[in-house]
Amino acid sequence: MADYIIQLKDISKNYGGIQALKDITLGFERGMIHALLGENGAGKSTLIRSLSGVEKPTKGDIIFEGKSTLKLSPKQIHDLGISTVYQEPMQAPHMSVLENIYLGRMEKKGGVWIDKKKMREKLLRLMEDTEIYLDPDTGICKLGTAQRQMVEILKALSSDAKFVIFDEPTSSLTNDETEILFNQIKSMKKRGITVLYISHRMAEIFELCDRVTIFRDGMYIESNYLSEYTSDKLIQTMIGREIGDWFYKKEVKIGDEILSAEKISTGYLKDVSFKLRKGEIIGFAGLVGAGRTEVAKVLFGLDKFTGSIMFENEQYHPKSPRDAMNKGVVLVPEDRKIEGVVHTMNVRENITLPNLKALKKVLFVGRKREAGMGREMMERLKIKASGLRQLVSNLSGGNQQKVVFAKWLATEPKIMILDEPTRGIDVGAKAEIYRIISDLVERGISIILMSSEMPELIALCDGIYTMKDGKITGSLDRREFSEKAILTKIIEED
Amino acid sequence: MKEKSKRLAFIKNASQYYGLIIILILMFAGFSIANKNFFTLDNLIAILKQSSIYGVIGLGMGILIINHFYDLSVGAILGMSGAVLAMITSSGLPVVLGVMAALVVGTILGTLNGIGVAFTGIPAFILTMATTQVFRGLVYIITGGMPISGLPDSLLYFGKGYVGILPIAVVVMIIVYIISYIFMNYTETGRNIFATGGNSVAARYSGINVKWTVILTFAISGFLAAIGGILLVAKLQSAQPAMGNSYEMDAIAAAAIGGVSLDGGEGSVLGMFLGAIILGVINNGMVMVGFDSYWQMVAKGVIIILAVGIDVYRKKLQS
Repeated sequence: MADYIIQLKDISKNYGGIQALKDITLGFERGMIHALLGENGAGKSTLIRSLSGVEKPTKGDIIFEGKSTLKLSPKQIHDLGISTVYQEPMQAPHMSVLENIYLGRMEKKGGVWIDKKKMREKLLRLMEDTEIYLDPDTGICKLGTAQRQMVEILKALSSDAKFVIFDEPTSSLTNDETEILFNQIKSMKKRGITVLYISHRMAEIFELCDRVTIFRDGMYIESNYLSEYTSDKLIQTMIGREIGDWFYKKEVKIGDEILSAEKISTGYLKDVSFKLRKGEIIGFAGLVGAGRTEVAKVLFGLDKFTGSIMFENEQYHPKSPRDAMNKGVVLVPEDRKIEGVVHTMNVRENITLPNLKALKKVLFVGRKREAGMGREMMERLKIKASGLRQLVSNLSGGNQQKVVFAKWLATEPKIMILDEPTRGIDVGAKAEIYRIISDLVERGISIILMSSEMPELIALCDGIYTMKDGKITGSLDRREFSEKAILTKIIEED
Repeated sequence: MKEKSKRLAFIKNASQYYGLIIILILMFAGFSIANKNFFTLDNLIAILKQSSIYGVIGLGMGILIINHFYDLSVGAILGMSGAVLAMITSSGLPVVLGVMAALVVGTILGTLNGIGVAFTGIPAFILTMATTQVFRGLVYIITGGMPISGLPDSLLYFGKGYVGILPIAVVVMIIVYIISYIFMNYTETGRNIFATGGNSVAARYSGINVKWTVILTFAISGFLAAIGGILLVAKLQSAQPAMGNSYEMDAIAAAAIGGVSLDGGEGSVLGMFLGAIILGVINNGMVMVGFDSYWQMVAKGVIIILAVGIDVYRKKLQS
């Protein structure tokens, strides 16, 4: 019988209709460094949030050292000994290192007065132990990401954490900083602390971890010693599923080149070049933060950039979304609720929002013509709503997304950029969105598709560019498509 | 069939005003019982006349709140516009010129607030609190802190005259509300104001020029404050440098009572009208019943809490 420090029993978590975790039962052995692996949307983040108490599972139980943590607050769970170090640590930026480390559990004289001296002494002792040296009085906002993570480690150690979770800690660290972090994690292990380490970087996992646990589509797949795996086998297990044959794209004749981007750079992107032809769907694959959304923002006039874009043989340098829209480039944005729909407006008003100019007669928007456009789009995209007057906030995610498609379709665009168009949408609505996309290219509209879902990219795209850290790392032709080929190009260390 | 669905839609639309109409009826009933003279044609017209000034400013404020902003300086803009009108007309220049100048000044001050909010990122609350000081200070500077009287008869007629049975101020208010109703419901810009207030990011992502919309809304509010200033000068037959002080509170109150959502994106011109009338009924009725002005303040405060509280509760039920 293995000695588990923490056990999950039959954990499920639902968000509305979406199941993020499905009947997870597993345990993490004491004193080891565990890796947690899975694609975007596999359920890793939900698992971390459940362990740290920020979210409560819909069903099941979590046992930490023989005690259920389910009914405890995040603070109580932290006091029990579970700490989490996030990619971008959540700290009070204008308070000092010392104050942040002891936030919520300050030493007090007589139960009231803050005892800075005592805290300082304790912290200095801890710094000597760990050889993490930071000025206790520096403001957090003056520290870099790596140092802020060190603050989190000090915080975890100062509260006698027994189980520490690292959520993609290295994604914004340099190599040197990563090495310092790894040494700290290894010395935590020597102190008997159990570590759960989440990362996409294969090399790191093989260097640091003892065991690996793999998640896929909200399900627990397997756990084993890392020595049992090769990098290839890990990727294979992460992908797992077969490419669904539930969707086939219609064959569309692809026309001449319509857009070509040459060496686009922004604060984030570096020399991004790609080409798009009429009626073509090109995909951008990459992990979160690879720079896909930034490409979309440049094309839609939201971000400034250097480099050149030719669109229908003319220089294209959009200054605003309105400018892009007038030239025939539109965006179905990543965050539907914040960027896509106006929740205080109804279906008709959302659909006609970018089209009011076209609907205008002299000064006034014709109500009949407006309703006509709304009704036509509702029928064409099969939007399920009680009527044009229903508020979009009362629609399902899939139907909200169709409203966003509808408002743009009515502008008769030439290029549609789709940023995670099926995120948070159930399978049935997904298939409908794919049908809509397929219809669009048949009408000669070109599509740029940013997606984290491999099957989606493979099913829809004619060509795929892979991105990492703001750069294009490769491109694949439809004949070369496979999840493995794409993931390998994304994950591979350069 | 079609006729029927249309009528149903109208009832559905009207239902959002039931709460306000019920409050109005209750207040009418209560004040009528307490004082026989309350429910007379003369007094009803007096209520409309009393409501006209903050009805007009409240409309501007309401449109701003729909756009998810505030302008605390409308009282000071009103004071400035009134002072400009009085100074020009008392010096013998034509009244038309004075009115035009007052409207231009009000619009410019509103526009300045709008530009400040749209381009600096300073919260509207703070920025307009500061410009209140600036504008009010300027009113004292240009007037030398003295009231301006000796206004021409034609301007005074504006304050005393009638169109049929309605005072001119009431006619002005009604015209302003009708134009605003059409503007907010049937023009692209009106729709953009709703969209920007409901979700400014999505509005921008839908090709709306959000900054321009914000500036325009502040300009409208400034313009309407200037109309309020003109009405007030005509009514008082002079311009006082402290004129319009704290009117922004009544303006916000009228909009809030009228069901304009403080989260932006929701509200209606008709609701704002009812809000202004309710405020007028409170002011008038409490005097008629014999409460002093201190109790009026208390009553106004309580009504605002009730009106907005009901709105918050209704939204909670919806979600």
